[in-house]
Amino acid sequence: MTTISTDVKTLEHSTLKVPYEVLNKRFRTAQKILDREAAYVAQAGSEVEKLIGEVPIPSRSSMGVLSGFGSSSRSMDDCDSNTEGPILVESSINVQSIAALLAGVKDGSGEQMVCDSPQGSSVIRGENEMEADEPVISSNNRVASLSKRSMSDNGHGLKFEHSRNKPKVKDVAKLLGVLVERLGSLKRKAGDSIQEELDAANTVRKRVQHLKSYTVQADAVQASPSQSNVVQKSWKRSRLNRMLIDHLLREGMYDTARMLADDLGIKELTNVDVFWAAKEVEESLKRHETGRMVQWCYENKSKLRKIRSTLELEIRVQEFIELVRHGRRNEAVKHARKYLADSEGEEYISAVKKCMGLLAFPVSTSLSPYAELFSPDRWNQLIAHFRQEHARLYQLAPNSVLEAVVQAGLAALKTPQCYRTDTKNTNCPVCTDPLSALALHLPYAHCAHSQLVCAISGEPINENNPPLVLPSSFVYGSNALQEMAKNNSGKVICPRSNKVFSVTEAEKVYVM
Amino acid sequence: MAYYGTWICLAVEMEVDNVTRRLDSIRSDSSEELQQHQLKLNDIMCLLKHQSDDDELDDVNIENISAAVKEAVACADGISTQHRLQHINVSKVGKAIDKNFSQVGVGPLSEDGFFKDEKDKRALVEVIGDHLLREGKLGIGEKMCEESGQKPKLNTSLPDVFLQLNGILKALNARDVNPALNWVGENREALLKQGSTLEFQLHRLAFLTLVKNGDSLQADAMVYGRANFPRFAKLHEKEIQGLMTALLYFSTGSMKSSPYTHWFNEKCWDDIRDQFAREASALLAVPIESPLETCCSAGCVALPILLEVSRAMAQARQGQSQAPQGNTWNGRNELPVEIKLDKDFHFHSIFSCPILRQQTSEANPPMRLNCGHVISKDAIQKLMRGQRFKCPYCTGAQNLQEAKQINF
Repeated sequence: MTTISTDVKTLEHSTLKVPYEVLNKRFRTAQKILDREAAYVAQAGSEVEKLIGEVPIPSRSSMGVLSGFGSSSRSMDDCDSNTEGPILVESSINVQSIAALLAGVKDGSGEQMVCDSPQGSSVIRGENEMEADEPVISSNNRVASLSKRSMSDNGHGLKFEHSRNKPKVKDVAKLLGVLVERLGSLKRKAGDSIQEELDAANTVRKRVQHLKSYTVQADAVQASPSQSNVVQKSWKRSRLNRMLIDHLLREGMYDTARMLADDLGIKELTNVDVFWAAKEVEESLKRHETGRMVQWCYENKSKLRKIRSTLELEIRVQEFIELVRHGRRNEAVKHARKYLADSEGEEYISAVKKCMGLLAFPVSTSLSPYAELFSPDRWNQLIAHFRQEHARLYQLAPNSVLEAVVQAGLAALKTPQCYRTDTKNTNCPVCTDPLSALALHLPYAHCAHSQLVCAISGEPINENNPPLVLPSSFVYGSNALQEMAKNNSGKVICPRSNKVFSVTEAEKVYVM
Repeated sequence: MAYYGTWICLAVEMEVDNVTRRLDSIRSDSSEELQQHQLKLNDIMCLLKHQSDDDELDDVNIENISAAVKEAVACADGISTQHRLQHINVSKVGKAIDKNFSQVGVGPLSEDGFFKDEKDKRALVEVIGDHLLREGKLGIGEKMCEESGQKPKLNTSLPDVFLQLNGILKALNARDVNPALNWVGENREALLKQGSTLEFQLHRLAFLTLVKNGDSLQADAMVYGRANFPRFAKLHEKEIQGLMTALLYFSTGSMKSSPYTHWFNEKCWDDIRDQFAREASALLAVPIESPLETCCSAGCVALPILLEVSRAMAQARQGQSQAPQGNTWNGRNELPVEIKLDKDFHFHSIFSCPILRQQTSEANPPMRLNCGHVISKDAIQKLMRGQRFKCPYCTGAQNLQEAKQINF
């Protein structure tokens, strides 16, 4: 059942995963922006409040201010384990505000009250069932921790209470103006950054729909094989082109890939845009510049750390080498102190040691490993390393899909006849250079069942066209031999031996 | 009912839709809410403007301002919290992709990937270059040579040939037979040797196109017929009669009920296009389809199966204490499974010995027994009892000398 569609499953992972990684990255960027902007708003708000003094009774909204500080300081990693939906948060804020209220009134016994309060936890449980399968206990914990936080914040807030004189109108107006500005900035930036996310999500959707257009068609053909497969054919051609573009990108032939994508109008189905940043980095490395690469490492810092990449160290080492090369040894030491000193792990330490050893040798040294470090070839290694890490960052397989597909295809088509001059076929990919060279080391196709083709007509030899063997030992389909005999007064020419026989000399062959 | 392939696409699409919906609502809600808070604070500031700058704020104002500020700050914080909660939904997209689509690891045919070799890499670039040239993408091919720093080892006349053929095929797609007719005229003798009827068919198509385009062109159609058909009288007399008769039907407007409707089918153009491609490539001894494309089409069928098998074999190997080493899967330098391909992909006769279930080779050729059954030489050796053996199909006894090697 799955034979038609598993090609999509097997071949299209990177088609979707790469734009997903873009979406994920944009999400994180957007979150950072929102957190920062919300913190600015909160700060502007607290300035106003500081000026006008504390309101006598803490209200629901006062809680909001405080939790604002709390949550903006939380890291994204916390968010990973945080699986409640928005509704639950609403409810926890409600409970929290009750806690805050109680904390304000009863002075410290609030936490106890919330955790024991049957009303409080039933609110949580009710909302929880609506949203997800998060265990109740953990959301209770969350409430407890939140209310704890709000209490301590509240205690802090109370310090303002009996402060000073009434504020002046102009000061308040000024601070309010700042707050309005901050809100505007938040609005603008939230709009922009969420739009970026939506764009990225849209790319994923477009690709998934492109894949779906094929699978739906494939399903239809499978259900009723009589259906035309013209659509499928053109889809498959476009797949080949996508694989080609992907391969060109993986091999660093960025301009070719882009030209092909533009020419075919399928750019948004390919990862050309994602690889464009890689192209810039590689070009800067080719010019022996490190800046763009350092920036790229910075932009992808958390991801690189996650995949345990040594790329940043490598580029810092290269900077160090260049300083030494140009005789700026003092600066080199400063540089090393700044960027290499806090490296941990065995391989880092040994890399750093080698670097520092470099200080003692002249640029012209032929001593290993210092000569290698000074070698301009190290830049090319950096490019290769970068390309590899870039692929890893987007969870691409070490080989391009095209390579894997070409390998599999060659092996599936490869027969011993492909390498014998007398049995070559121009239309067979394995018979023609340069693919035949690529197929040389690959295994042959496995044929459990005979698959015979008439060498005269190219028709399959089967029960409708049974095989006959001529005295020359060559086998042909009976249709072709009979046809030839009819036009040639009973004589047949064996095209492979150029001998002439009477058709009656042909003997039956039984192929099981 | 959705099948597997559609289902895995839907699984991802659903998650994407979920994220989009939620982000979109956060965006519009937040914009609206922030707008409201801005307006509210602006109102307050307007009120303050009516007081003189150095006045002190009264209690009512303080309370109002404080409430408004707090609400605004809470709103800002709410937006960032709401957004953060979408992390789980965003990562669900990634999980759906990972779950439903599998990564192509290193090619299943080798542990280290053959194409890492510089020579192989260059060969692959060459293959791609040939393909691009076939497709008429000369500029892109040149760009690739430039970027890969590799001069293509191409047959220098080949690009022109493909360019010409591509132009002809494109013209046929655009319903123009003239470039094809020119080419066929230039290669008339060679084509006739192949037994080609391409030229007549092209003329027929040109004639029918004139007929179809209405009464005004009827005279032109006649002239065209008189100019071009007599040459083919020997081979195609019957058809020429038919063609001229078709003229009759068309002018009476009853073409639909005529016996000639099949000639006016648009599919004729596709057929002639395919036929042209086939005959031209036979004549020029170049493959009809791009070898890269053929190879990839086969690979797209083979790869999922091979990956599945290699995964299963890896699992089985883990169970065994002694792991067989090497790239070849069963010591026979052959794929472990049969990949069933369309008949378009059958380029060679393959005889697989029905006894040993193994392809024959030069060392182990197919042998025709005196009863007509064919088995491999190795199979005969296995069946030998002394000097003689029995055919496994009809039990006819014979000795080795009676079996004759044959070639498919």
